[in-house]
Amino acid sequence: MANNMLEINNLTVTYGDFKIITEVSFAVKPGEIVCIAGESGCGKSTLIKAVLGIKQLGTFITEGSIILEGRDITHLGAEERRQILGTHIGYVPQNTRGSFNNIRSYEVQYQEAMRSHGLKFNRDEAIKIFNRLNFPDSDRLLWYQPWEMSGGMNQRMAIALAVLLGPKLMLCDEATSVLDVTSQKEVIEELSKLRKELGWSILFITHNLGVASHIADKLGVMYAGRMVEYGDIRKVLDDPIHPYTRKLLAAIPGKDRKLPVGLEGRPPLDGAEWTGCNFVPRCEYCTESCKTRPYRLEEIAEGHFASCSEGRTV
Amino acid sequence: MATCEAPLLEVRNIAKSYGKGKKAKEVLKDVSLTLNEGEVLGIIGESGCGKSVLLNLISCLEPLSSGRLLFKGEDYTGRKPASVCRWFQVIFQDSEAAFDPKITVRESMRENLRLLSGNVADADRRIEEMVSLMGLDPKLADRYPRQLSGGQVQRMSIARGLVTEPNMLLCDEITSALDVSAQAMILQYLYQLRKQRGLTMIFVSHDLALCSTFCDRIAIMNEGRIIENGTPHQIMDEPQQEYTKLLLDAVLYVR
Ligand SMILES: Nc1ncnc2c1ncn2[C@@H]1O[C@H](COP(=O)(O)OP(=O)(O)O)[C@@H](O)[C@H]1O
Ligand code: SF4
Ligand SMILES: [Mg+2]
Repeated sequence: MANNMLEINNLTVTYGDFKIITEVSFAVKPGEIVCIAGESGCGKSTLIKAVLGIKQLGTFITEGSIILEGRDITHLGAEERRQILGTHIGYVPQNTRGSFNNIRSYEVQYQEAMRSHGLKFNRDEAIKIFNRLNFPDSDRLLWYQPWEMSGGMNQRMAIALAVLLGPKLMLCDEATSVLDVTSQKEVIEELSKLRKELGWSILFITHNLGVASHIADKLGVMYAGRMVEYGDIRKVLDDPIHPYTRKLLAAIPGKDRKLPVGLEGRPPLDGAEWTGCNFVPRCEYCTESCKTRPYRLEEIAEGHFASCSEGRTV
Repeated sequence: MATCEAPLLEVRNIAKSYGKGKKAKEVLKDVSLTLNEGEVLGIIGESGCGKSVLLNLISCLEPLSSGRLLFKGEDYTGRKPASVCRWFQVIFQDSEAAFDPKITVRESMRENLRLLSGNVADADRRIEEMVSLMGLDPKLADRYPRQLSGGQVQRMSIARGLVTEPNMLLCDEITSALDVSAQAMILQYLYQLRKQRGLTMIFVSHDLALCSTFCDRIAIMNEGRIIENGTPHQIMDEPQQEYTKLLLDAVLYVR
């Protein structure tokens, strides 16, 4: 058995000639939940699209590799890819309304999804899963159509379908971000439960570090196309190393009800193209040498990586 | 002698329904609020609970179904929006859409001043003052909205609201579409404005943690009603209603 469920090795992804993410490496172990956090435009969704390999979206992997359970899937052909999407890799986007057809019953859509993977749909089995996940009105759920449901319930129906398809790796792209806090909590708890019971590995992309802190084992922080910090969630949150991680944490309203501290400016759009550190324009510790300092993720403490440790207080 | 100064804003038992007869849907039910000068009130609730409708009613963008609205003790129920826009400036979540993309931010602010106060004599000085108050370089005002980041546009729209010197800002989820770092910048500058100018504000949001950092009072809304109203301490530490407890329980703080 492969050691890792998913390996991302030194990945560089472009849109056309334009680099979006560079030199990203990390792994997801079986049964592990890895969260990648960062602000809009840092390349989180691009990373997910690269793993899904959806060429129509215009992403192109120019360097590095993606290994799924020991198998190189970086440049898989369309037919082979179709076979693994759903049954090996599950996917929950921000808004599943876009992936379900809004005006056809879930039952029909569940059936079709399963048939396209050569699986047989079984009503009772679906209802059993709904019950296990404590869905309300589980006996009748399949007759509903997505438009009749709340956003939260739709996300949960997408997760239940994934359970039926049986992947081991789930990719979630801001899967709870447009939900109300109460449904967000339900979805988070559901995913944690499924990880425990089914041994799912989950790559969970979010801009919300609060959500990450409640679900993740490992946390990666991305900034302008680069992974600037990575490690066990407790290490990263309790002892944030990179100046950006610390700024990000200070900006989040906390239990102490103190006014959060902001960060002026915005990330450079072409940050993945820079040769030096791309946090230079916003960093309080910036010196002349930072402008040419090559990007490298270093192991600063055991299992805790960062591309800079300036200003860290130990 | 006892002074009987009226609150800045008083919302008395207002209700709002859409549709008629059997199809009528009551989206606001018996909502009452008072807001004193210099106070910041947070209104918290999940999507669809009626927060935005409430702001629309207060600013006369929509008529009430019943109830009364009072500004400094004066009943203004049923007035036209134009006659109250000097009191209230509304800031929305999607500010870029609220700016005309074809003119610079400065031109758009001048336009606002001209329409609302007819006084454009020292327009540029006032615009630059407000832009600086929001922590932005006044030169940025000569850009077009799309040449600014989301956080900058939002700060510009607050500045635009403030140039006409309204009595109150009504903010509708103004940081919800922003990154946390940009959100925190906005909070910092709004906080400064409070300290320097005693700005009165209603801050509508779905984020309880956020509101607890700078509101004087927080009102919890559920299905068209205000079910609980208190200081951040009362709401966060001693919630009385089950629904408030449910919301609090769902706040995922970074731990
Ligand atoms: N189809 C596209 N063509 C060109 N650039 C794109 C496209 N989609 C996204 N981008 C750019 O790629 C960068 C990263 O985007 P994305 O991965 O969606 O960020 P995130 O998910 O972290 O918010 C952004 O600068 C964005 O503008
Ligand atoms: S390399 Fe320099 S600019 Fe970049 S994060 Fe470190 S100190 Fe800041
Ligand atoms: Mg995204």
